[in-house]
Amino acid sequence: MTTPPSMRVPTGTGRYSFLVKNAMTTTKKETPADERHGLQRQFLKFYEGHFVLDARSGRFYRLTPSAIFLLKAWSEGAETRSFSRLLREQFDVDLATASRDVELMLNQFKGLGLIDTESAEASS
Amino acid sequence: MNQIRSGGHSSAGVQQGTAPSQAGLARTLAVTGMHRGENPQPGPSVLASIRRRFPDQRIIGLSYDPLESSLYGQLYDQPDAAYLIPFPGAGIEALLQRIDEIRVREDLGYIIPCLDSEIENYTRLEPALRERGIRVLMPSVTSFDNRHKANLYAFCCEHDIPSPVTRIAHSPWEVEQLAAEMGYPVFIKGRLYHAHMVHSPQGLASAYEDIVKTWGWPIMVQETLVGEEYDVTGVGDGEGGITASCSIRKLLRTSNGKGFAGIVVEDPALDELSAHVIRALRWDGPFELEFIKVPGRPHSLMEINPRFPAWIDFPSQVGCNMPALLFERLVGAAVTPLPPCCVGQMFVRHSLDLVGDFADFAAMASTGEHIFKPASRFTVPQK
Repeated sequence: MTTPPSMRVPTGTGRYSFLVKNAMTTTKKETPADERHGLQRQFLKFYEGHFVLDARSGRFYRLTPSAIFLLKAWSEGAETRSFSRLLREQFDVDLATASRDVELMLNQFKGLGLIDTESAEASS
Repeated sequence: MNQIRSGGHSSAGVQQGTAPSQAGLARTLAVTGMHRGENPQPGPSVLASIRRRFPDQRIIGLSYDPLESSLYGQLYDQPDAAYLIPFPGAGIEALLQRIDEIRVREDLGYIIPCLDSEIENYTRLEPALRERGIRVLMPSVTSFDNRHKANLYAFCCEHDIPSPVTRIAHSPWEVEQLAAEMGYPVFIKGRLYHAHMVHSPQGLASAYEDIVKTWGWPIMVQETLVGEEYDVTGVGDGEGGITASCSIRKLLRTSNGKGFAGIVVEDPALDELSAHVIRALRWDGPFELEFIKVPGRPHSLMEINPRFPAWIDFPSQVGCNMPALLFERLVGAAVTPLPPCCVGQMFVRHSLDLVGDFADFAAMASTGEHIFKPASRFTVPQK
């Protein structure tokens, strides 16, 4: 079974991004990656199947299906080392694709402070 | 974050033999800052919030201009009457004289000032108002001075509160020296209002001249911080605690930086820092803390406003009615515990066109007052 286009994990570092640009104050450029530590899972709130609100920062993002799937799993207790397996099970992608895209995704999640940096590194 | 304390604070006491709430509601409340224009003032929000809890409370507006927007239309934030008062620069004698004139027509019992420029006057007038049976809930002189823009950086350094480096300049030469030391861009700020971001030495003179001609010296030179903006509003209990509060991230801003939309956040670090600030000040009454969060750094305290913000009616609408809590303190009633605001609740400001008649404007401008609803339904206590 081929993965539908909407579910495919983007490859490389092209224009296509896991995360649609978040809605920010209109007069500011997008701020660089937040290096907050200690972000707890309970501060992530999910809406309508594709939005996540970071309750601490008040920033919110619209995610692709694969990104929201993994972030939700993490908020419910899954460890980041299981992301590749979860992705393959859910979206029927091969190991190499899953591993690469998990790495890209984790970098973005960590950069935005959605996943706690320390716990993510401990899990990887 | 919302530390809820039951029990009212009643520094002026309550009439013997009467239930506090009934005696309080019989007297008129005055609110200032009644304009919701491009730079919205808090008065209409405060009025709407109090009216939401106390729909029969007579509330008058103390206005500086007959064109203040709350005086028009028939909305819930329109006062029962409005009176023109002298600008803060006219001094406390002129203000007190005008209040005495208003007292001839209104049984004025309480005042909630809502503009930065008038807080100092009301703080100084508080004893005279108390003699007249009028209550205002004001911070102590020390608290008020410590949060002043010119003193804030020193206060923050003393109490280990992150804030942008700020220096005071008394002359053009000092401004240039300080800006060069800090590095551009810098903010040039007036004592009360007005700020310019300056990107190079060439823009410095016009920036400080523009401010000095209105507000005089000294002015402040401040490092520029870039990040998300967070505001925390609440009520201090005067003993270092916070009775209720609400924290938001600004979602939209106007061209002059005013918040036009916001979303409730729940950040333990922000809560802790806000509590630390209020504890250090031992702040009494309404406040607004303005922060900027630079990535990788803790929240930096930019300003402490000694009054409610213009968005105060937003938490009121979702159950956290802080102006009503403040009014309960003013009348000496037991304070009703408030629920916290929930993460994800948000507001977006909306502008309306209100209908008026020039006759109303002319009446206000000529007589200095406009009565929308007579006070006949209230019983004026015999003195």
